[in-house]
This record gives sequence, structure tokens and C-alpha cells, in this order.
Amino acid sequence: MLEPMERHIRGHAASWGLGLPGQRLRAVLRSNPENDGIVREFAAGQIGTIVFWFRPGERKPFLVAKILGAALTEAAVMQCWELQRPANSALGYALFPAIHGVTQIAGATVVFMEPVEGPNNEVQLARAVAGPERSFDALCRVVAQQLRELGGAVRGLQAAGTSGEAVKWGSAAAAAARRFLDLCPAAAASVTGERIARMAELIDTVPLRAHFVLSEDHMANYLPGPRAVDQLVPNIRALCAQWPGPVSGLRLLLGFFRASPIRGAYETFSWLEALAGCVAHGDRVEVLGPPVRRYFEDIGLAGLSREVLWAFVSAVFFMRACQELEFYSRSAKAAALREEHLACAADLERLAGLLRGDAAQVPIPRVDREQLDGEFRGRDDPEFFGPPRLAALARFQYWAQERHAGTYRAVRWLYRLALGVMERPGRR
Amino acid sequence: MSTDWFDIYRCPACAGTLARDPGRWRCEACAAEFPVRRGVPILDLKESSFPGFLGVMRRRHGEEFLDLAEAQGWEAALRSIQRPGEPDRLLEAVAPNRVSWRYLIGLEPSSLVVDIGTGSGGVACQLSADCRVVAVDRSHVDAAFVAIRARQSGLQPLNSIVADGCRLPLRDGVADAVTLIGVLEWVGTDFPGRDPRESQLEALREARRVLKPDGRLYLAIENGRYFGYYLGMPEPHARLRYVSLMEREAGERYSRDARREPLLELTHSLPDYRALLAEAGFPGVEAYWLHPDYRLPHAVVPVDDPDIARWYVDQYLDPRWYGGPVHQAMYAFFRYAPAEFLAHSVRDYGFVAHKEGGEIHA
Repeated sequence: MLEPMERHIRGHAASWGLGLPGQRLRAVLRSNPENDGIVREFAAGQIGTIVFWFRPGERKPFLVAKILGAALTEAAVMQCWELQRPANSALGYALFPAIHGVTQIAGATVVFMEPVEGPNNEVQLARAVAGPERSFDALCRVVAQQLRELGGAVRGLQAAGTSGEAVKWGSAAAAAARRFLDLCPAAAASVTGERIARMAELIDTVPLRAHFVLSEDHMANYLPGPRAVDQLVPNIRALCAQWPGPVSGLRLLLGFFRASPIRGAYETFSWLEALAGCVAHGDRVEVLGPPVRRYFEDIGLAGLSREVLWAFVSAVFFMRACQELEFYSRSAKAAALREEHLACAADLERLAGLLRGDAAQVPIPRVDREQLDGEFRGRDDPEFFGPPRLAALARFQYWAQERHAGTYRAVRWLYRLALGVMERPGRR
Repeated sequence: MSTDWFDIYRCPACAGTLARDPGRWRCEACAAEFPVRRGVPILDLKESSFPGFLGVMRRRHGEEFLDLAEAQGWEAALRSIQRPGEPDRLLEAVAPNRVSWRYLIGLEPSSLVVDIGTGSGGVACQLSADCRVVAVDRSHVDAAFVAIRARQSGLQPLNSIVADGCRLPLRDGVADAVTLIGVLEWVGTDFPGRDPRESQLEALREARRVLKPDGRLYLAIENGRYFGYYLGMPEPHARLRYVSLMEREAGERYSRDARREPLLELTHSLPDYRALLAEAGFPGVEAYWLHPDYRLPHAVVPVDDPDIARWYVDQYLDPRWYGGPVHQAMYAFFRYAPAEFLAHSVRDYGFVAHKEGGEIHA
């Protein structure tokens, strides 16, 4: 499979504008960890694998090839790209990775795309929350940057995309809620017919236009790069005609809140409580408050009452929950997912009640700053590596070299020796 | 046997031609007889000495396990032997990432793959969607289980046999690929009186013998110099700390002192694996880091170029995968250690070894 792919790349190198060396290219294969245990009913080969291609000596991939599952055809990919290319031009940057070509290799559809630099949103956020790189300041910076980028993308697409007459979206929201009840009947206790009608009524107070949408359900993405959205969806045209732009923005926001790094940072709260906290208390919420307020402005939902905003959040939750429950219906994860959504539906209604009444009752989510900073407190401060610390480091090196020259040389020698030993075969 | 490719087999004792009689296979040259139990031919001269199946159970439970698989389905049988704290056996049997490396060995529908040490058939059954597979195991229960699984799942191009990886009952040059996944490190335990490295060489040479000239061996195995071992994590085969970091003789003495057993489970460093494969007659070897492990790799990263491994770490390494101080230290090491160290310190390797040609690495 890789050899025919490489031959295809070489055959099209000139038309794609790629300079290639004579030596073999190197490839990194990456599959989605979620494939395991979640989508059990799929046979191997039906699930997409990403191949990152490197030129010898290159530090980053010069091309990405995606081996697609059976659901995506060559025609569907080209349809997506026909929509994405003008959107990239209108935005002025590559929100969608550029597609060089699509072809059939060994019975699979393979897409060749431009790579994007940097870790994806979820990894970037996880590093700000967990591990030795975590810190409160890093979390603030990453959250603000990611929500600014996502909000900017949705705003740009709304401005660039075509849209028809503004329509009332309440009936579509109510249909999503009823479908959710079909899939998760136990939720009927909290998601009553009356509540559904009220949600639809509130949503109908804000007519919305259909826009070019981002269908991505999760904040994380296959392709690295905070700016790239690898959106290859067979029915993208229908979705763009159907969904209002703000709905697309809320889908991304719910994915952002539900991602485990955010849940880890606000571990005493459910992700819905954290989101409700932002709706109720705005800038008073640590880290998330101001970026989320700006995000609502970016996606065109600023100035709405809390109750209306929460009605939109509820509708988008039902949409996403239905999609997930249908997609994973035959997988090992189905039962756990239904439980999770059942609890979320109850939370959703409870929080709706609070937002309708006394919003001050909604708890304010707080991050554990001490825990986040831990042993790395102050590292994000520009002064951390300022002149005093650099001087101290220089003094330490001078002290080590002058006073403990033998130890210093021994450590350097051991370092080089370790490198040499690792490279030397035949130790056994 | 679900598919008839009888002409690829030969007698494991004398390499003579085999003939099939009801309930047994027979060598036309040396007259050796090989019983067929539950539809699986036992072509291992020493099968009766093999103690268990799927790495855990004793033989006496095996027939009950197979009866359960026949009666209630192979998934129910696997669930029945799952113990708390063990890796999820069912997941390992069905997870698509179990074969995420398959693109490296260039399979076509007509290809023949020999999966040695097939276990519950996680690799063999998934590969059989792409090509023909011979699943080989020394345990009759494992081989029969894979045959039952293949039959119940409607997998056609899969043969399951009982055989010894060091004496395969296959003719020369019949296979397009041979897979040895989590097997080579255990080969020494089959030959307690011998140098385990010699046993490993024999298994690799045998794999080479059955490969076609353009065939490839896929070997997945732990790194004996994994960074975690330096931090005191026990070596998973011998279950001793630091043992794989020692020189062989010291490790041998340590093993005899600590667990009253010789050190027959052998893992190596990256250069030593290359040397071993070269000695077994594979001139071209590509080395990959299988992350997070060789059982269910999410990523297959070439380690010949340290910069690529560094790129992968920068892009994807997630601190949430590393809980506790030891693992956090490992995370920090992988994130910030020089790229040269990284390739030598990862946990699991996958090697694609070409019988002829391929890329040659010093």
C-alpha cells in the first residue's frame, strides 16, 4: 500500500509542486486510538489511517495522505474541497488543509493533503492542564487562543458563506430533542414535552440564516494544527444548507467543554455546569469567562438572554447526542454513552431552571490554581528566565566547571558515552 | 480448515510431502502421522509438551474453553477467561489498531501471510480480510480457537495449524509475509538448555526460509533498553527490575538468584535487533516505534531518522497518558531528551525485514 502511494506521489510531484529526492520517503502511520473498543463493528480497513510523508532529513511532513474508510468516495471528497477552497480564499488562510489529489490505491480511497504545523487543539490544551508543562498561565493563554481561533473561523465562514432567508430553527431543535428521547427513553423524566416546546419557542425568537458550517464534532482533530479542520463529510452540502452558522459554532464549543483537559481543569464540575457558569456569570469565571463571551460574539449569539442562549445549547446538545448514539449504537461504548447523555440531559434541564430563575445559583467554576501551577509556578512569567535567573545559572555553571571540574567533565563524558553505547551494536 | 491450500505444507520432521487421511495427516516420505483435532492439524512434533493456551490457562481447561466457544460464540469464551487487571482480551482480539502496521508489508488479496504465535487471532483474523493467512500456534487450544473464530465470523482465507515457529511445516518460499508479534522474546523458553539468542536466530531463519524472495518479516517486540526500565519498571517477561539493562551474564546470575530460573526471555536494544536480523539473513531492516505499544499501536513511527520521532512526540505526546511520578518523568524525558536518545528509549519496536533487498541500515 505504501509503495503504490509513494509511486503516486512521485508521479504527481511536478503537478503538485513537490520537489522530491531520489531516496525513499519515510512514512509515519497514525490511526485513531478511538478506533479500539468503540467502533468494534467496523472491520479493519474501513477506518481511516493517516500517513505523514517525510523527505529524508526533513523535520516535518511535506505531505499527508489519508487512507479513507468506505463511507467516503472520491467524488464526496472533491465535493468537500469544492466548498472548502473558496472558503479558504475568503478567510485568507487555510482553515481546511489543501487537497492535492484523490485516487484509488489498492481498493481504498486515498486523499493527499497539505500538512499543518503544531499539535492539535486537544493535545495543546492537555499540555496546559497536565504534565510537567502545565500552568495556570498556560491554560489561560491556550484557552484564549483556541477560542479566538475557533470563533474567528466561524465568524469568517458566516461572512464568506452564502445564506438564504433567516429561518426559525425551533422545529428542527424540537425534532432533535424528540429523536434523542427515542434513542434514550430514560431521559423522558427530565426532557418533557413541555420543556421541548419551550426550547423551540425560545429558539424561534432568533431567526437564523444557514451558513457554511464546520461539522466537526470534537475539538480534537486527526490532522495536527490548531487552525486546520479536516472536514471530509459526504453530506457537507446538505449540512451547510440546513444548519445555521451559530449552531456550528456551538457544536465546536460543546466539544471544547466536553474535552477531558477542560474537565480536568474544572474537575469539581460537570462540563455543562462549567458552560452554564460562563453563560450565567460571564467574565467572573476564571480562565474561560472572557474567551467564551468573545466566542459568543464571534459566532453571532451575543446579546441574547441567558434562557435563549441555554435553549440553543440544549438543542445543540440533543443534535450531538443523537449523532453519537446513532454512530456508536452497535459498539461496546453504547451503554456507557447513553448513561453519560442521560446524566447530561438531567443536568441540562436543572441548569435551564437555574438560568431561567436565579442565575446566581449557578455555581461559578474555579480552577485549582495551586495544583495547576504546582512545582512550575511562575515559569510562564517572562521574568522567570530574566537576568537574575540567567545570572544564577551562569554562576552555577562557573561554579561547577571551576570548583568541580572533574564531576562536570565526568557528566559530559557519561552523556557522550551513553550516546555512543546506544549506537553501538553487539553488546550482547 | 476453511480453505484448501494443502500444497504449501510439508512434513515438519523430514520436509516430505504430506497426504491427508480422515482424521490425520501423514508424511509420504517418513510415514510420520499428524492428528487433526477439531479440524486443526497438529504439525508440531512437541505439541504434547506445550503447557497452556492464550498465555494463562492450563491445558485441562482448554477443551472446556473450546466447547464454550463452539456453543456460545468465541467472544463469550474470551470474556469467560478475562481476569481483573488484565488487558482486555476481547479488545485485543478485535481492535482495528492491532493491525495498523499492515500497510508496511504491502498486502494484496493473493498474498499469503503466516502469523506465528497467533493467540486469539487478533492479527490473523483481521489480516484475513485483506489476504490469505496461515495462523500458527504451538497451542492446539489457541489454533482451534482461531479456527472456530474464523468459522463463526465467516472468514474464508484462513488456515489454522499447530506448529513450532522454529520448524514450520511450510515449503520454502511460499509466504509473502511472516509476522512475529510478541513471540520472539519467548522463543528461548522452548529450548531451556540452549542460548536463547541462538533460538531466536533459528526462529528468524525459519521465518526467512518460508518467505518468498521479495517477502517481508514483520517483527514486533519490546525494547530491552526502554527508558522506563532505567526508572525501575520491571521487565515484563522476566518480571525483574533492571534485568534487561544488564550484560547477559549478569542478568543470567540475577535471574537465577531472584527467581530460581534461567533468563530465557530475551529482549535487545535497537542496534542489537538490527544485528540479530542481519545475522538471520535479512539484509534490509526498517525499524519503527510502535506507540503506545505493539499490541494496539496508534502510531507507527520510523526511528531511523530521529527527527521524525521527535516530530511525532512534539505533535502527539499527551501528558494525560502518563500518570504518576515515574510516568511523568518518562513523559518529560520523551518531550525534551535529545532526538538521538528518543529512538533508543521507546518501549516497543516494529521491524520490517526484507528477505532480499530493501533498505540497508548499519
